Amino acid sequence: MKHSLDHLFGRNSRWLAIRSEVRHFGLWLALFLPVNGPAFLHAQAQGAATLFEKKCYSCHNIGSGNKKGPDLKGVTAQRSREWLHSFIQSPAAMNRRGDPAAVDLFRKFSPEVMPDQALSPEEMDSLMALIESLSNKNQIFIPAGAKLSRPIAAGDAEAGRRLFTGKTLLSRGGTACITCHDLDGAGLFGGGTLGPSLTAANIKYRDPELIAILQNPNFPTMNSIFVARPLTDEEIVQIFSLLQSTKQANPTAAVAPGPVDLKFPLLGFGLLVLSLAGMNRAWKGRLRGVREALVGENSPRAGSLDRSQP
Amino acid sequence: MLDHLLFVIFPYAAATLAVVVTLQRYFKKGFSYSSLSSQFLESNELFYGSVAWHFGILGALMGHAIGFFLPVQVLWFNSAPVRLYILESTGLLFGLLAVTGIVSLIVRRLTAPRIRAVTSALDVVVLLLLLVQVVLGVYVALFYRWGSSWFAGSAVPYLRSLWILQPDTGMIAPLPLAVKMHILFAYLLVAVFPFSRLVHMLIVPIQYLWRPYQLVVWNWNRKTLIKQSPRSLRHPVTLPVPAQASDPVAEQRAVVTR
Repeated sequence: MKHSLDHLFGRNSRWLAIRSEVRHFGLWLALFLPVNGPAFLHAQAQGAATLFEKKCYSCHNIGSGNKKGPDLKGVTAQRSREWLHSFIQSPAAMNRRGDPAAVDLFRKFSPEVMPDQALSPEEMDSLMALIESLSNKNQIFIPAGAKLSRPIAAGDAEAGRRLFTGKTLLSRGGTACITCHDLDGAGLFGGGTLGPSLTAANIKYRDPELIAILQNPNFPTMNSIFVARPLTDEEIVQIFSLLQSTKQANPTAAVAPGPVDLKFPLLGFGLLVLSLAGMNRAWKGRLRGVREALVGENSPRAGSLDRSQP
Repeated sequence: MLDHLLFVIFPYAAATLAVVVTLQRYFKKGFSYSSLSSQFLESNELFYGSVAWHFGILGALMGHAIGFFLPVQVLWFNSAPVRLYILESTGLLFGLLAVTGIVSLIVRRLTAPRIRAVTSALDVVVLLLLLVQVVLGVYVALFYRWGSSWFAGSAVPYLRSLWILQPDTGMIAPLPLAVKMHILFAYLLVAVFPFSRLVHMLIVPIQYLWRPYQLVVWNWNRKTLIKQSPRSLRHPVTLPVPAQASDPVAEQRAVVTR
């Protein structure tokens, strides 16, 4: 609903201003309560830390280094409040306008592109206050909710593998991990390659980071699918356990993508050759060259069958 | 904004153009609905081109249609890796058949002088669009794979949003460039469709499948005819040559024509 209105009006500043006004007076809440209301209320009540964990932590740390996006420690001292507001609302628009700092960030973190964030000015201010207070105290952000709901038990990794490959369907309707991700031992041809391989996921991310990602996969491609169909606590435990056991089995796995797998293209090529041979056989009685000969004989240069000759 | 232009406004414009011009052409110039067959001019290269292309593209289009109409069932089918691999390799095969076919058809159209003589600029445009489109499709199948599953999660919601007139490009905005180009070229093909010979797909003579078969009656002695006739008369064919009583060969030919 919100998206379609954005499409109607575009993301021009006037519409954004009207939208924030409406939200400010609480009308926004009343209008979209059936769709976005519960999530919105929940986020407000949980405060800045929860908001940061849900919306930012997939890509940003505060004080413990760059992830997909930059570490946000001290960012409030480096940039103005207005700059941060307009960047958070639409990073791509800032980049297009040629804002030097934005262009710099886009270059440094390419090919990652931060998606537009539908946050109210109040929400953005609360996030900035959180970043500022942690930065001033020289503390790092540790997500409170990024914990497993229960300890890992025997059989979780196996259950996780069934979830990964899709043998057990994700209960809220998300697409199975194998659709877009590879994982060591995921099947004969491996998993998908739309997203990165997860064999080394547990080396790239620390445990709370990985758990937070499983809770809120706030990457653009995943977000569009999983924001409405999140993993259950139980599924998070099982998939986390699978990723952990994969890490133990592949302690030297590299984060960089491995060589391109040739099994699948070769299978396709083999099938192609077989099909062409099959067609050749199925139509072996086809007419070969008959028409060409006729056309040749009927062309002006040919002899007795030319129409122009009696 | 660019996304909005290319993935919301453009598809609606292309679809409108396709529907309006298709109908207008049908009612104004119905006899121009044809594939403009060039089979009579050359048939050796045409075999691998046409057969491979048509099997490939029809299979691939069918796959996309099944994904669009039955996304949940496709996801269920793909829930066992072996079935996912079977579906994906079938799709890849159709794609590769289409690429083989279109390359063969392009080579033929550009190298055979008779075919070149009957080739219009639009034919070349259509062939190139189709080539780019199927190559992009195979590229996506190989490098962003298991599209049969993520198509259901990412592309179908977008296509459905167009269908119900509540466009939402949020789902496809983050997809890789090759995937977006594949979607874009599909719209370009829809836009070119009504002006080109692609309209032949609307008038496929499927009634041939159930119409009564035709009887061919030979009313002369084939063996003696073959001995005295040029090579081209050894098969029954229809020719646009009028019968002339003074010419014995033409007389024979007139029999064949009837």
